[in-house]
Amino acid sequence: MTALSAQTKILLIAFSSVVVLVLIGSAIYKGWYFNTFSTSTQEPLTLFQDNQTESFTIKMVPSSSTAAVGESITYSLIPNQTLEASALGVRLLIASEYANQLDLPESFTTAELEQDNQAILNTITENEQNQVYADLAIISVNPRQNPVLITANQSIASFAIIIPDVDFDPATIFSLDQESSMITFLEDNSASIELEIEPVTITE
Amino acid sequence: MIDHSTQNSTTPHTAKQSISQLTAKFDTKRKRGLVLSTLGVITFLLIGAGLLTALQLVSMDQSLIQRAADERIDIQMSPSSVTLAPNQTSTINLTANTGSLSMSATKVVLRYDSAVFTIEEITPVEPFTVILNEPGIDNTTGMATFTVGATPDPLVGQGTIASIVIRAVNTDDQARLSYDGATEVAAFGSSTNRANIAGDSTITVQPTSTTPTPTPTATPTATPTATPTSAPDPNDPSLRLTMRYRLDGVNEPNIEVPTEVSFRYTTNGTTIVNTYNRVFTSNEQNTMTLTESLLDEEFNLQTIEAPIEIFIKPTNGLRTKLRTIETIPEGITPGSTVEIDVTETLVQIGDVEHANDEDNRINLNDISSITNYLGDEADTPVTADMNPRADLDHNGVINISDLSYILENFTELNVKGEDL
Repeated sequence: MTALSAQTKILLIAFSSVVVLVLIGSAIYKGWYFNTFSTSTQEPLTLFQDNQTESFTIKMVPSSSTAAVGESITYSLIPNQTLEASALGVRLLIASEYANQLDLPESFTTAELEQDNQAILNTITENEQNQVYADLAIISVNPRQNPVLITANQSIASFAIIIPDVDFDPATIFSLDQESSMITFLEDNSASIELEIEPVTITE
Repeated sequence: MIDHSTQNSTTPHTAKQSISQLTAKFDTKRKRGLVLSTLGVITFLLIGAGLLTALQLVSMDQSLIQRAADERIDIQMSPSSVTLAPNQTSTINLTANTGSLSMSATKVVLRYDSAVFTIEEITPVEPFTVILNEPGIDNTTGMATFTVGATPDPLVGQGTIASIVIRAVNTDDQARLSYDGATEVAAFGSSTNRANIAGDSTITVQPTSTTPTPTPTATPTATPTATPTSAPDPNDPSLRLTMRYRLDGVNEPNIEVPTEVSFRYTTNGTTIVNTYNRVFTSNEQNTMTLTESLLDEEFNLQTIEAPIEIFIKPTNGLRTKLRTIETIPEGITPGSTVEIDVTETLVQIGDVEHANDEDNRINLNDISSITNYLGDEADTPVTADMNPRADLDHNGVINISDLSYILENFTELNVKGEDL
């Protein structure tokens, strides 16, 4: 370097500066920097690294612990964990012999989960085999940037029913379709869902 | 008198000092100049780099704007050809492929030759359920119009605008059902007509008496579904079959899709399923063709009893029963080469889960297999370490279009294909 002239040094410095600037500009343009660093804090809370080693529980919680026959009561679906997911799907099977008396709505009332860039499947219907089931799916169309946020003890969805004039046992009326219900994550893994139902005491 | 000795003794010292001072001054000046020059060059380069970056961003914006301005929504008809007997009815679907645009409304103007067929009914299909102008059908002039809007969400990707029921007139002729140039398509974010008329439908009316081709199904359809294409070889007990079916998501010719074809029938009271894995190739939109023989030597026509059920399971689709052949037509004998045309049903796609783990259903695992590939870029190129079946439309990238296809078919949490 000592043999280089001042002009050569200037040219070398200038050339190096250009190279560095081009590299920085290119990296920013390609999103490398932002992908590598900026979004690192947005990595999802993947609780289930191993497929289905842990279960995710949803509780059906009634709006009142007591009710009389013919009264309306609202059941909320409340998760037990906080996490970020690619998608969440719940299929609630409803015993067909009670379905008419329950005065079921056509869909769930969804909570604040319904955000931009998320698709919702939300139906309570009877299929060709006379099975009554309620489907709720919340799907992020861009889970890396906008995952489905599930917060422990905060309602995902709710639906109102009329207490039927029979021995009202919600555990007999409602059940979860394990095959269809699942929660999926960014790593292409998924977890099963368990359902717990809180009872309602029927008053005279 | 000047003391030269003193002068001589002091002058060199002074000169040396001066030279030294000058050198120091010069060095300082040179260093300052060097630093200033370097700073100047760096400043110049920074300004230059800023200008270049600005120019690049501006040109990128311009190209995006230009691309958005150039984008069109393809509208066409499905099926692209129909053969009817006189007085027979058929349904033609008006379809749209919006690409990345969000189609909000359309004014459709159709033209046709009412001497060949008439339009009986126009039924808008979701999401185009807002009727802005009631369908008007003029079977005298051969023109039909209607205007519909999408609700609650616009159409993005592929979808159907409306179903048209046509009825053949008692004639022996051919005519086209086509979009008129006055047809308009509106998209969010655009104030211009986005329609690109990409296809019409040809309706052929053939009187029954002049149609020698046997119809092998019990369902009344005039489309020949199993047509002998060569003279039978009586020494060959096998049946050579070629096949055509329609697959959602295929928009280009020459796309190869591995497909499982199954025949279920009963022989001597025992249900038998023959399954063949073949690669079909697209030759036009949605139509997959197998030109080589589907069957192998073990498939012996003489041992088969109708009814024969035909099932299709494309690599990323649901198994679908496409046809039940109630009786084997007289024209089909051992040694025949027959084409089975089962293009009336569009086979659903979306079973994209992990390779070798097809479960013949569309569920959240399949959807997440696509969404998990979506990121900052509009298109994620399919690479060797990715599941290629997530590329539902076979265009080499995974994007919102693939997601649209699967969400369109995700009508419930667990959409199952047919079991064998």
